[in-house]
Amino acid sequence: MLLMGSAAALCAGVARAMARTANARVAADVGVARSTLYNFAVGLVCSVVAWLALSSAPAADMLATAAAPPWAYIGGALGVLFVVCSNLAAPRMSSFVMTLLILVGQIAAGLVLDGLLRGHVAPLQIVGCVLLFAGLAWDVAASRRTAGAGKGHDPRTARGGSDAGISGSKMWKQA
Amino acid sequence: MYPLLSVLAGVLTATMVLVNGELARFLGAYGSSVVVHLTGLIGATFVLLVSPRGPSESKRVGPVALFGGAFGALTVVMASRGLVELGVPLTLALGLLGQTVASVVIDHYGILGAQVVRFSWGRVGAMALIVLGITAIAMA
Repeated sequence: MLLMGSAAALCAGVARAMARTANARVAADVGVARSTLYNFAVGLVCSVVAWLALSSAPAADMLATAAAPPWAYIGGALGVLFVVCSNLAAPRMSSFVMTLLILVGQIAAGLVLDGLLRGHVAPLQIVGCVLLFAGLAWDVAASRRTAGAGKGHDPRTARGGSDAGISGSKMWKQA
Repeated sequence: MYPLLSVLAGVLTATMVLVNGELARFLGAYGSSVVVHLTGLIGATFVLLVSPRGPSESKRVGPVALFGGAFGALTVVMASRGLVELGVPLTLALGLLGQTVASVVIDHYGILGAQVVRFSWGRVGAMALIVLGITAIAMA
């Protein structure tokens, strides 16, 4: 069971990175707003199927809806903002760097929320943040050297391979 | 500007975890995913209605349009599964590990039209530092 749980958690991380990349790819074709709509429409269908197939008592779940506080319902709106931000940023940087930048925001906000809600921040978390930021800076420097002088993370020069990627990049330049 | 948007996306992620977790306490992981995506769909419709249509937008899109939402729903389901069996810190750490490895692979091969950034051994030390940092945060 521990193995299954670990596999599921790893899977969630892989799916998160794939979702971000796929959304950015769709955004390059049909625009940020429309791709955000597609994301939530397909996500809703998949969620409903998973809910009906896997939840032990789907109807009882919904009866409990009224009991949740109003602020618990802003997650969808935050999700829309997340997809819009991520779709605007993803074509401009590598997936790895984006993962780390999202992580920086996530951890900083997590520390602030922890501090606000519990009144303290664990020292080990701060140590972890310092290690993380150092690793981020190191990696950006290392991958810039690999890409060659002046190229860096510019998608217009670093992008290569698939035709789809190049046409996506062109559309972003026009937008 | 764009790095800042990514950081903002991270801030939104942390807030979403808190807010969606509260909803899941009442509706369960699957039920809350339905409500989150339903309210998100309403929000996205609103965004689409108020945003100006750019000249570069075409209506033609392939099956790739289905991937984002499907992987998004898979994220929620798998994360909640991990959460039930492992608890929050380990789920978070493993999720970040999965995300880090996946994004290195996505970059290297330019999967789904991502810009190609080849993997090099010079980055291993930096990645080790990042994994160490994630572990420390997850254990705190």
